[in-house]
Amino acid sequence: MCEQIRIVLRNAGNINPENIEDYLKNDGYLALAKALESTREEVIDIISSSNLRGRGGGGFPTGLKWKFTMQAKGDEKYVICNADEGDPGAFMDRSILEGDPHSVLEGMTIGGYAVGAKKGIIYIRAEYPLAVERLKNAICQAKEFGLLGENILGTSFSFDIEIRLGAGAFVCGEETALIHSIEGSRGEPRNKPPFPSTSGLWGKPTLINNVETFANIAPIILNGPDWFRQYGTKNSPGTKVFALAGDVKNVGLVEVPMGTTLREIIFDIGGGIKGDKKFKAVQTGGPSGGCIPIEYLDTPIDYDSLQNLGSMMGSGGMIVMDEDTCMVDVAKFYLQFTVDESCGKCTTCRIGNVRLLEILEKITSGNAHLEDLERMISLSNVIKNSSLCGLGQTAPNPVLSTFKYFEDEYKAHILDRVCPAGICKNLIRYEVIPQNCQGCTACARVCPTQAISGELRKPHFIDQTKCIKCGSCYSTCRFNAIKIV
Amino acid sequence: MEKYYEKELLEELHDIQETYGFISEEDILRISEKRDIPKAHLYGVISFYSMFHLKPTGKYIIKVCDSVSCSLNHSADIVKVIKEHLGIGENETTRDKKFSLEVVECLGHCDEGPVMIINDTYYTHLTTNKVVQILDNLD
Repeated sequence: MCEQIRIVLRNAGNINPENIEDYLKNDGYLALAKALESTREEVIDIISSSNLRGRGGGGFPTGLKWKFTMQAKGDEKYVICNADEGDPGAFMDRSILEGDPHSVLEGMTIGGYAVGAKKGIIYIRAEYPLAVERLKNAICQAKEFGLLGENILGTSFSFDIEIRLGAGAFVCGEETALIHSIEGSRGEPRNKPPFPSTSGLWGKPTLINNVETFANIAPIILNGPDWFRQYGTKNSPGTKVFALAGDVKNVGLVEVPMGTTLREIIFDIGGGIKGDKKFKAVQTGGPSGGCIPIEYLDTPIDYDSLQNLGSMMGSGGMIVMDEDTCMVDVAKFYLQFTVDESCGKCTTCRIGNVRLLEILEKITSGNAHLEDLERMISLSNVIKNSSLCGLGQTAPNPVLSTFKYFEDEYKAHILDRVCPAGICKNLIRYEVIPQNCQGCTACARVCPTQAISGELRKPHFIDQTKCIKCGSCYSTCRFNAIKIV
Repeated sequence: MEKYYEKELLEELHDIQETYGFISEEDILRISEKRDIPKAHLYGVISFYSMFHLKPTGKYIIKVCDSVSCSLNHSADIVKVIKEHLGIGENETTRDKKFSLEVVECLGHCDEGPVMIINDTYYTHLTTNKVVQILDNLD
C-alpha cells in the first residue's frame, strides 16, 4: 500500500486559506526569512541541488532556470507564475491556489529575491474566480504583514505581486504565448531561443514557473535539498500531485512520491474502477499525453518513464477509463480539443490536426480503409516534427499512443466495421434479446422515433431503419433485454 | 510612465466585456486611438480569446464543460437539456437576452463533473433535473 506524502498540499484543507495567520502558524514565510538571510547564490544552490523539476509538465530543472534568469543581464526582471491550468483533467493548480495561496506567493517572492526581480505576476485563467479572489486577499494580507511590498521583513529587498487574468485560450499556458498575452497580444508562441530567462516579458529576463513548482520552494528552503531528495526517484525527486478523475472510485487530488506506480495510484489510493468494471487505460498528460494500457500499470512514474511510454507527465491530470471506453473515440476527443485550441500559427498544427481528426471520424463512422491508418501515422509525425511549440509537437500523442497500444481496436473499426466498446454510434446496433424481453413496453414508450414495436407481454422488436441509436431503450430496460451489437 | 503600470490591454478588454457583455465597434475605435494601435490588431486579439465577444451576450453566460471527465459523466445530456429548455443552440443568446450558452473545454473541476459555470458561479455534480432548476431560479 503506498502512502501519500503531502509537501505541496501540506496546508490545503487544513488551514483557512483566507487568513494569513493560519499559514504563519504552519511555518509560513519562515523560508522567505531564511532565504533573505542567505545570498542569492546560496538560495539558487539549494534549489539546484534539490533537483526540483518544473511541475508544469516539461520537467526542466528549476534551479537551472533560476540560475539563467539570475545571470541574465537586465536592469529589470520579472517573476511569472503560470496558473493558466487548462489541460482536460487537471485541477491541482486551482486547488493549491484556493487551498493555500500563500505557499505560491512565498515561493514566488523567494524566486524574486534569487533572480533579482522586483515584480511578480500571476497569470491565471479567468475561469477560476475563487482562486483569483483568494489570491487577491492573500496578496493584501501579505502586504499588511510586510511580507510583500517595500523592504520585505526589514531588508532592502522589495517585491510586489499582481494578478493578470487569461481570457479563455488554452495555448496561453505555453510560456512565450503567456508572455504575449500579458503584453496584450494574441497568445501565440514564438521560437525559442531566446528563452524567457534572457528575454521574457517586455523583453526583460523573466522567470516563469508553474504553481506547483512554486509551492515546492518554501519546504525545500526550510528543510534542505537532502530532505527533498529522500522522496521520489533520483532523476525526479519530490512528489507530484495528480488529479484523479474518470471511471475511478475515489476521484480527487493525490500527492505521491515520484516513482509510485500507476497501479498504486489507481487501485490503492483511487480504490479501483467504478462499478467493478475492468480497467482499460489511463490517460496522463492531457492533450499532450497518451493512454497507458494495463500492461504498464506497474511502471514507476516520473517524467522520463511516462515519456518512454509515449505519454507525458503534463500537469498531472490522470483520467482513468474502464472497459466500456472506445480508444479511437478517446483519441478523437483529445484531438477535437487540440483543433479547438490550436492558436493557428503553424500550418501543421492548424490544418494537420483537422485532417487528422477527419481520419479519426472516418474510422469511428466505419468508412475508413487500412491506408487511412498509414496516413494517420505519417501525418501525426509531420505535426510532431514541424510545429513550433510544445503543444503542437505533442498534439498527435493521444492518437499515436492509442494506436500503439490498441491497434486491434482501430483495425476492428476498419476491417470488421465494429466498435468493440460499443461506443461509436455508426458501428453499433441495438437489438432485443427475445428470451429476456417481458413485453413491458417501457422501451417502446421512451423511444423517440417509435422504432420499437410489439404487443404487451410479448417480445418487442427494434426497426433498425428507424433507430437513431440514442440508447434510451438500453438504459430504460430493467430486464437486460436490449443488447448492443 | 513605463508600460507595466498602465492597465494592460487584456485587463481593459475584460472590464468592457464584464460591464457591457460585449466589446463594441466604438470601444475598439476608442482603444485604438488611445493606445495608438491598429484596429486590426485589436480585432485579432479580441477574436483570439474565447471570453471576449463582439456581439451582445445574455445577462447570464452559461458555460458547460464538455471535456473528457465531464464527458465521461454525460455532459452531453446536460447540454441537450439546456438547449431544449432555453430553445437556443451553442453560442446563441435567448431572445430576452437573459442567457447565452457556450460549450467549453476543461473548467478544472474534473472530480465534480459534470460542471458548468454561470458568470462566476460554479455548479457541480449536475443532473438534468438540477440544471433546469438552476436556470429557473435565476432572475
